[in-house]
Parts: sequence; structure tokens; C-alpha cells
Amino acid sequence: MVGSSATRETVRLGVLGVTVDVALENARRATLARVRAAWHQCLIEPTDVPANVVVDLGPIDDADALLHRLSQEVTLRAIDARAGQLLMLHGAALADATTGATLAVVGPSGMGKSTWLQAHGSGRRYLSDETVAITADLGVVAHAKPISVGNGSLKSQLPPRDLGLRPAKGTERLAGLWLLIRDSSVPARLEPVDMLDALPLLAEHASHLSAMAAPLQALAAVVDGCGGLFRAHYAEAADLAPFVDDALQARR
Amino acid sequence: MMTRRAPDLVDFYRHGSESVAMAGTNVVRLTELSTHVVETCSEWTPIADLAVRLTDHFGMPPGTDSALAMTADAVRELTDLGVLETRDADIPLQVSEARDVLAAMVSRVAADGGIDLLLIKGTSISHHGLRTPRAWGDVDVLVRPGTEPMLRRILAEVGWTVPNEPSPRPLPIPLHALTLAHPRWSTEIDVHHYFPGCYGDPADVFELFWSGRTVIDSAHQPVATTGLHASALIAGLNLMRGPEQPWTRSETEEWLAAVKAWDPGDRQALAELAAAAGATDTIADLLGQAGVTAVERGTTSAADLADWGDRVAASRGDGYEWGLAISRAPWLRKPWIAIQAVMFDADAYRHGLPQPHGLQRLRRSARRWPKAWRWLASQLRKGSRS
Repeated sequence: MVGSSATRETVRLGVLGVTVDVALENARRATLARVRAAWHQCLIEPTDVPANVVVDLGPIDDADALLHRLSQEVTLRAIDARAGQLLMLHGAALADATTGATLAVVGPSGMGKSTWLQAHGSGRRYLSDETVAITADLGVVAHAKPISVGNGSLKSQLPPRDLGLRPAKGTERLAGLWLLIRDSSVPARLEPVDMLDALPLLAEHASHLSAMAAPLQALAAVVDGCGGLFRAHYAEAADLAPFVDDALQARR
Repeated sequence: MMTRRAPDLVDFYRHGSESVAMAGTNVVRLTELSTHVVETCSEWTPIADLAVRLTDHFGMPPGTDSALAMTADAVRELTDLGVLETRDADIPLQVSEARDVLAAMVSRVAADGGIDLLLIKGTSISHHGLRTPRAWGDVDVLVRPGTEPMLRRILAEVGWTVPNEPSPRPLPIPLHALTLAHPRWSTEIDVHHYFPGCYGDPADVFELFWSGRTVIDSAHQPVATTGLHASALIAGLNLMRGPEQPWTRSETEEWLAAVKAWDPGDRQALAELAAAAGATDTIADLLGQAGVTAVERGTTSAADLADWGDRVAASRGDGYEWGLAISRAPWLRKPWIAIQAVMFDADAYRHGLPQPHGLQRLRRSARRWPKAWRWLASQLRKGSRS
């Protein structure tokens, strides 16, 4: 057994533009190290200024369970904190390392967002594997949480650097918006979605949409601003490589 | 059926001829027809009107479906989605219909509550042939003194309230009736607890009227109203109290013609009722014109005669009551009441609306300032002499 000291530690994170203090009770030193490693792109130095959000899960002995719960809880609390301020879509996003042009893929759990990240993320800036937060001027606010991998009730939480993902710089702008459709019957392709269909489809994947002022106008402005919503049909994540390259390079 | 945009409609985005609506957390794409419906229904709109507007825009629908049925289907669908809300339409009664229905309703509500109530003025006067029926007018009732708060409570439970309460104007002359209004009725109820001009004890006067009551038909319901003589007394006092009302002259002629045609027994009964009600002096002139000999003249106290004089003068306009209030107020309060008088918006008051505030009130009152200042100066001069 390593690090048997029982203490209360606080780890401060920056996610979705808010500060989150995570209180860890009786966490072993090794567990603390894993938390820091998994959230390495979000770690910030605590200051005297209180955090916007405090997450206290109570004592959890199992490190995997703690990381899993933490991933969910931090995300939910940060989303709640930004309700009405950001357009937040359930999805993943990567940005070109040089230009910051960002491609976001939206879809429900199981549609392959994490797989898409693993296939196309290396060397690119990482924004999120869970929540793509977009400002009114198409800026993308990072939620660089650990990558949740696996289909079970307890997903592994991988540090982004393990996948070769680079940290965001705060200069990312939305350049493309896709809806992932896993479909082995056709070759990989992008299919444009009419604006009037795009809004209900995206609304299904938005958090706290009704808390925004004029939410449909905001959503339409984002869709319009990034060149429209596309359905990305694919069988294997790698099949989308030319489309991803094109989407991110087109705005260079 | 009427419809309007639901309060839950968060946002509406039009793109080309179609649109997307967000109701609560539900986001739906709307057809061109539904888009037009939502854009048309920013306020409560009868579905029949909506059908006409849709027909104007799209033409008659094809096939056998009528425009109204198609419109109703579209509204139902949008209501299910939470985009629209619907309610039963109001049936706009004409004032005369509303008055008859309302008289029957108030009468029944009072009877259910154990309150003795008489319909007075209006319908009862025309019923007894003292005036030709009017197509307009409020429902006036007289209740046994002391029971008016109970009637008011009962009516308040079904939405009848006193507009402008507390009153934005001074009330130097005691109120003889409260006006109750309802947002969905075009006519009002005036609840009297005594009748001005009758200076006998109000309870005794009511008993006199109650014992001589008759029952008339109002909206096919029996309603208790004043008998022939009490109706003539009330109508006569009303004419005497408002000598400068535009209808007074013609109605006085009708009243005189009717009473002159009565047999001597009824004419004598009217004079005796006026005496018993303490109204001999207030109606004496009219009785004289009708050739009826008043009995027990000169029995009204000086205070009651002064009150009657105030009421007659007040019928000429709001200015008299303001002037009375200024003259009766302590010196330090006179300027404040005078300013209130100049700022008072009589139109808003008559329509049961609150007095406008701030600049709006100042702007409106400014239009009548030249006249108002002349009036005010005369009232203050009177006040300083009192």
C-alpha cells in the first residue's frame, strides 16, 4: 500500500471558464496523483479568491470510482454554473494546433465521440470529450476533462496527454459542427442539414438551452457562423480523417 | 375558442416561410401554416378570425375540409406542442342583455346569501311606465342597510371588485353606493345602501320600499324590484339630483306625463310615501309640477338640505367636490388637495383605471392647466373665506 496518510486536499480546476475546487477527503497520495494527472490540462493554482463551484464527494476509497464520479460531478456543476451564458452542446471538440480552428462533433453517448477523439486528436488542441461550450462570437471554451473511455458503468478516465492531445490556448473558434452518425452501410460522407432541422436536432444535445436569452436565435447564429450543421456518416472513426483534416485546415 | 402564444413559448425562429419554436424545453419545426398561425396569435385571437386571416393568406384549403376545421386542427396540434394555449371564447353580450342577465344573477346571489335586495332605477322605472327603456345603463340595486358588506364579499368571490379603491379623489359627500366592476362584463353593479334624497332612517326607508316591492322578469328570472310608488319616488329624486344631465329634460317630461295620468289614489300614495321616506322637500318641486300636493313640507333638517344641495351641485362635474374638499380641509392641507385636483385624471377614473403616474400624469394635466389654474384660484379664494 502506498501513501496511507488520511488528509483533506483541495484541487482547483478551471473548466468552462469557471473555477472548481474539488475537496478530496482521506484520499491516498496515489489517488491524489491520479486525479492531478487525469485533470492535468485543467489544474490551476488555488488563490485566496473563492472558487465559483465547490465539489465535495465525501470519502471514496476506490480511485477508479472517484475519478469516474469526479468527471461527472465537475462537468454537471460547471454546466450549471454557466447556464444562460454559454451555448453548451453534448459533444467533443478538437482544434487545429496552429490556427485554433475548432471542429465539434455532437451526439449521444455511444455514438463514438471518444473514439473520434482518439482517432483524430493527436497533435491537436483538446477542448472536450463531453461538453462543447460556445460563446456568442463562436469562441469555444475548454472543458479539458479526462477522456472517458469504455462502455460500462465505470468508465476509465484517461489523461488527455496520453492520447497526444495538446492543451487549448483560449483562442479556439468554431469552424465546423457535425452530428456523428455511425452507419456501416455507406462510405463516410458529410450530409448538410437544413437549418430548420438543425435547430431541433442540436436542441436535443444542448444543456440549459431555455436559460439563454433567445436560445433559438443564438443556436441559429452558431450554426450559421460555422458554415452549417453536417451529418457525418461513418463506419470507422478513421474513415473521417480526410473530412476532419479538411474542416480544420479550411479555416487556416 | 380563442388562442394565443403560450407563456411557455421561449423562442420562435423564422427561416424562409417556415420556423422553429421552442416551448419549454421542446424544440419543434413548424410548417408554413403553423408559422403563420403563431405569428398571427400574439394576443388572444378567436379561431374563426384566425381562419379568415389564413384564408386571406393561403386561399381556401383544398378538398372538403373547411378553413375553420383546418385552422382548429392546426391550433390543436400547436397547443399539444405547448406553442399555443387556448380558452373558450367570450360571447360578447350587448349591454342591455348583460344588464338583464346581471340583474338576475345579483338577485339570485343575494337571495342565496339571505340578503334582501331590490332592483332600482333603470329597468324598474321603465317597467312601471315612468320612462321608455334605455339600451344602456348599469344594474342598480338597493340592499337592506348593513348587508352591503356581505353582498360585496359574495360578489368579490366571483370577481366583482371596486375599481379605484382607495379612491384617488376626496369624498366630502358621503357615498350612497359602491360601484362594482368585473373585467369580463361590459356593465357594472351599483350597490346602494340608501337612496340620496330620502332623509328618513335608511332601515325604515328600505322597509317601506321592501313592503311595496313587486317582482319583474329579468332574463326569464324573477327579480324583486321597487313597486310603482317607490319607483316613481326614486326616478323623481334622480331627476331632481341631476338637473343638467342631458337626458333629464326628456325623462322629466315622461315622468310627469305618467304621474299626471295616474288615478288620484296613486298620486296621493306617492306624496305619502315621499313624506314617510323623508323626501318631501327634495321632490316637492317635481310633485308640484305633476299636480301632486306634497305633504309635511318643511320637515327636512338644514343639514340634510345642505347635503342635498351638495349632491345636486356635484352632479354638474368633478370640480364641485374638489372645491368642497378644499374648502373643508385644514389650511395646511388645502394646497396639497388643490394640486391633486389639478392632476386628477377624470377619464381614467371613469374607466376604472389607476391614475397615471409621473410625467404621463403631468403631461395630461398640462393640457388643461390654463383652465385648471383659473378654477383653482377661485376655489382657494373661496377656501380662504370659509
